Amino acid sequence: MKRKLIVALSLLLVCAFSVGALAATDRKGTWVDEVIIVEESSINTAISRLQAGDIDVWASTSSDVTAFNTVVNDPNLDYFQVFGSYTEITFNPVGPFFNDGRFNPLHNMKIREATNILIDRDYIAQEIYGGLAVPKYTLLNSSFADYARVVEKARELELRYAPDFEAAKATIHAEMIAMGAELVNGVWHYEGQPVELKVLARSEDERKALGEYFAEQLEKVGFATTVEYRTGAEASPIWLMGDPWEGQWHVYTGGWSAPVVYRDQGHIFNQMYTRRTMTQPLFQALEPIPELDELSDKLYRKEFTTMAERKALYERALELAFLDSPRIFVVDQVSFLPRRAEIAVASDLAGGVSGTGLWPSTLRRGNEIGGTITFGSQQVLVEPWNPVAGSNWTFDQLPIRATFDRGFMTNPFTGNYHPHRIERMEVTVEAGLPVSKSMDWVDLSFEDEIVVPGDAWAEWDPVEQRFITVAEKWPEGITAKRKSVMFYREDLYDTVKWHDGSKWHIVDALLPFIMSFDQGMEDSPFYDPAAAASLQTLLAAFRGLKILSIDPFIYEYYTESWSLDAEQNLSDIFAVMYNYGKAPWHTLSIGLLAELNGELAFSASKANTLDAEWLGYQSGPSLPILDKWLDYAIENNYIPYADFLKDYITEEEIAARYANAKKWYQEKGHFWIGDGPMYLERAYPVEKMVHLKRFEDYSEPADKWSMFDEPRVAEVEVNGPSRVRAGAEAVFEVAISFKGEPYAIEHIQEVKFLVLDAAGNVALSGVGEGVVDGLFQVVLTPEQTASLPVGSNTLDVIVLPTLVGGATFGSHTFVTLP
Amino acid sequence: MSKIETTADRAVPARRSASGTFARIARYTLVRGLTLVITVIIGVYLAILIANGGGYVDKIREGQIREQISLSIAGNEALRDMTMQERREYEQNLVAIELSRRGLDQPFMVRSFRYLWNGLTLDLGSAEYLLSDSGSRQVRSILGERLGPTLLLMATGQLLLFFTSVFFALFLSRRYGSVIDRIVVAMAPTSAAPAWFYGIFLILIFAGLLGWLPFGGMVDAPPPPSPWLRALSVIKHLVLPVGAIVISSIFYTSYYWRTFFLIYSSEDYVDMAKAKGLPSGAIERRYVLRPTLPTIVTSFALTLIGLWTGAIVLETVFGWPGIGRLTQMAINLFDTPVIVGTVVIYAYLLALTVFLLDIVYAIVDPRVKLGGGERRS
Repeated sequence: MKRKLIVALSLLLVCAFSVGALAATDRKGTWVDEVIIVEESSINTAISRLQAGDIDVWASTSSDVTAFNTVVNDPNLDYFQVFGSYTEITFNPVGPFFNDGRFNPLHNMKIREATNILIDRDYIAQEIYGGLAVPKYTLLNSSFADYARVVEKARELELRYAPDFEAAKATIHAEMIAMGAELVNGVWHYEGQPVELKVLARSEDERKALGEYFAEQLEKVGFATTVEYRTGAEASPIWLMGDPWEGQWHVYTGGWSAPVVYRDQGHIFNQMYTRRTMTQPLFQALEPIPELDELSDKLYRKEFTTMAERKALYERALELAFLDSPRIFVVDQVSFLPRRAEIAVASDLAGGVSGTGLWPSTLRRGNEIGGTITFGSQQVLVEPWNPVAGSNWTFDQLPIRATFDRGFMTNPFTGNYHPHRIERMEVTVEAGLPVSKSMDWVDLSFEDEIVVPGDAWAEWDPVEQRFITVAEKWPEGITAKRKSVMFYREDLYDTVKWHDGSKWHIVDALLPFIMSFDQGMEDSPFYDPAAAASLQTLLAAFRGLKILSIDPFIYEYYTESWSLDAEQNLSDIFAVMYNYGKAPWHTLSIGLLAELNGELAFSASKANTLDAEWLGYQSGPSLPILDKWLDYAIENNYIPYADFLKDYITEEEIAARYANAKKWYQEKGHFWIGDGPMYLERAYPVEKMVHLKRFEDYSEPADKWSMFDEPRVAEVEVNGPSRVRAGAEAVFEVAISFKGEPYAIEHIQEVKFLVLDAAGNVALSGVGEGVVDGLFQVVLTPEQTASLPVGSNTLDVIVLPTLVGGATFGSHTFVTLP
Repeated sequence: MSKIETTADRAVPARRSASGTFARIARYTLVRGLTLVITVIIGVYLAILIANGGGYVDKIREGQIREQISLSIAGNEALRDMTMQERREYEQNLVAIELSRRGLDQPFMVRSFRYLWNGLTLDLGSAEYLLSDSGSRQVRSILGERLGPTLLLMATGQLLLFFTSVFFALFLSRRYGSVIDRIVVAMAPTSAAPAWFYGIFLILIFAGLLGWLPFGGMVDAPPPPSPWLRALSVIKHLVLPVGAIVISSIFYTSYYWRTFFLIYSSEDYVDMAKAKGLPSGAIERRYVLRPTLPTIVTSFALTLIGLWTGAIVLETVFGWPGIGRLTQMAINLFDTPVIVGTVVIYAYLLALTVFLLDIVYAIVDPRVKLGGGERRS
């Protein structure tokens, strides 16, 4: 009897575990049942709340060193690192004389270049930024793909411009003398007047101390300095908007940030070194080295045909950037985003948790299924939510991103795209463009000429309410640089549901697509001048769209725009407005009705013009107005652009949609209806809270994106002989791991190496070879070791994983014997 | 021949006196009202000028707009094939739209008088940057939504503080020199620290360490659906900030009022009352509280209008969605309509209070009379 009982109990336990396991694998959408976002503006209070378990994640970022140390030292807490912000020192490069006759030594390129070695970036990173920064020499962010692409040159430049105070002093001395200045009692004078440099230091953060440090360095080489402290708003009229020839400042401690992980940073040369991108007086006063000017524009316009050619342009531009140095880069800041240790969630390397649409799918407390997780956020419900021109604050994007679905997902660590509702894509680009693919869901091909078919839609006609075809717009025919054929999953119509129970419909794609044209056209009743600018950029590249099939959903997209990665050459009209969120056609329609009648407006600027409220679907004064127009829509079975859209939708389908919206509004009290893994239960605007719940009808498995719950940043250790005889082979082992586990060899894109001599010059370079998972070898042949200078050498290894955008470095020092 | 004095003759001076008093009151009211209106106009316009740096803020805002737009289009793939001229025009168009949206396409002086007129006529209009919590651009909604939480917090805290300290001070004035009196005197300097300072400690102890009370906010997350539970939740969230307000000032205000009452308690007429053998309650009511009433009323009235302004740092520390934080945000963003809205309402409330206080003084203090009328002998 006893034995039977034990067996029965055992079976019960096994069943229970099996059911549990089954439940785990069958779980759709999100692991958690509810997410609550509350406002917490202070990092210090946030950490106390994390420690007390009052919140689970603080979804904002901080660079507060004390707070960071608290998190590091608390075993119950963990953190994500976020890279993207960086600091630089901008010079006023005009001269040699300002309008009032004062001498400006910083117009001299060689002096500006010398400031690169006048400062010690390691010191700045450690002492001024308390370790929450890494030295930055070039405009490239070391966590992004482009740094890895030119890593040899980047490392070479980092060594060339390593701190060397005496060399900097000597260069500055020689240049000042050559320009006619003289050193009197240790201070540079020009025509009898001391040369005084004014440092404009930002007062809000570490740039205050950076300004003081840089002023000290300048004083050590003989310049008189004054430091003025200004907030960003106060400094802007002086350094950016002021006339640089007025000489109100010489040095400014600037900062920039990259909101996403860039796959291609080629456009930034134009922004930083030429007059082309920024129109402000300072940038218009730049006089770049002509070759740098030309290369910057080539990189911006992608005037290259191979990646090797691009690399050569890039490397030369980097070199010239140091020679020109209208600004010098100082550090990449490392912000942190604290969380409780048991919480797993995806966090974008540049944008943090709010920067990725994957956070709801990856959010989990240990192995728990269900439950509630509370986020703290610096701000909550900042601006109205609408997918046309609503809030794009990161604080609002945090909940918004949980509520809508899309055709693709962005890898939060590399910035590349993965298919989600898209099944596959065929990309054809013009022959000669250096496009390459790294994932199998894309078929890439090249053609000498891509002709856009005449029956493709080229532009919307707001008067006739139809699409103008390519044949009508360009009777002589037109070509495109890129054609993308998008194949959506065959189960799209069965699996995608809106939160109010409506199934996804082709009009959900067509209406926002029409609006992206129509709202920017003056003849449209929905015309919005703010949308005209967006339309201008759309039309500049758009060449045509041809729907091949509605079910399954397949279309061809023709454009002049293209990207280096084949995967990024997609045009997803499943979520046209994903920058601001997404809405089904029926809630967009009632928004259009409200705008047409001057009561609400999608954009803030049109709201001002109409003296109406800015449309917000989530809460606030828009809701009763939208409800009123929903009643009108129900009564009239309204559909906008009816002449065109009625061919795609039936009267019954229209009525059913509005009925669903009405029911939703009566139950939930808002109109923010999405199709993502979570839905908005309620927004509490005054209390500053957002309550999200798991959408049970979401079709995708909860573990679909589990590989992105933390960045697989490689850990590298280099081992090998400490003495190498010239002319003998030397083998070094590169151990690559992640959290102690070997790093899979297929996830290592490349292992590069440099051998540096005692003076820091690159003596050798090459690539390592994979042996097994977690192990690469660097082999120096007898010929190579024979070419090494006798004495101390350093093997610098650069590991480039495919799972994260950035490189990891390791080094090993050895002595070369004769 | 002696003149016979008639009733009518006697009545004339009385009528003259009544009409004279009325005229004096009317004249006084008019002059006082006009003075206050002019003061309000000057005060509000000065606030507009200061908030905008005399127009310099326009430069700052234009710079920010240009910088943001330049950056937003810097990496735009679609603009790649535009010429520099086309790019400039494109950017300029975006800048013009944004400048117009912010009203920066008009000279500051023109706008400043518009702000003034709109403010004085309480046509608070639309904010330039800020939105109400629910997303409205209307300044009245922005202020209105924050008014409730601010009044709830500040009224609870300040009124509790006011009445507690007044009655506690009366109690102390009767026990001059006692241990408790000496403790209060010794503790009075602790009020040098502001409420938010005590708030941080209260949070650390009662929220962080003991976990008895919430760290901040106005209600539990998510708010309870039942109104009663919600009210209880709000009360729970009020405990620490109100505690901070009371703790930060209770000793000083009690000391202040206690000293004040002591001064009045040592007046001759109080000694006389004591000598007559009046009970201490009657002495307090008639001979101590009555003459101090104008001061108490003034303090109370100013406390009431002070509630409107909220408390910037305290609200920030406790994450309380009040007007103090809103004002700070408006100042940081140079959102003039919101700043003007806050200032003008405060100015009107202050002016009205000052005006009413003059009348209240006359009611509560028989010594206060207007002008040089007849006096009882």
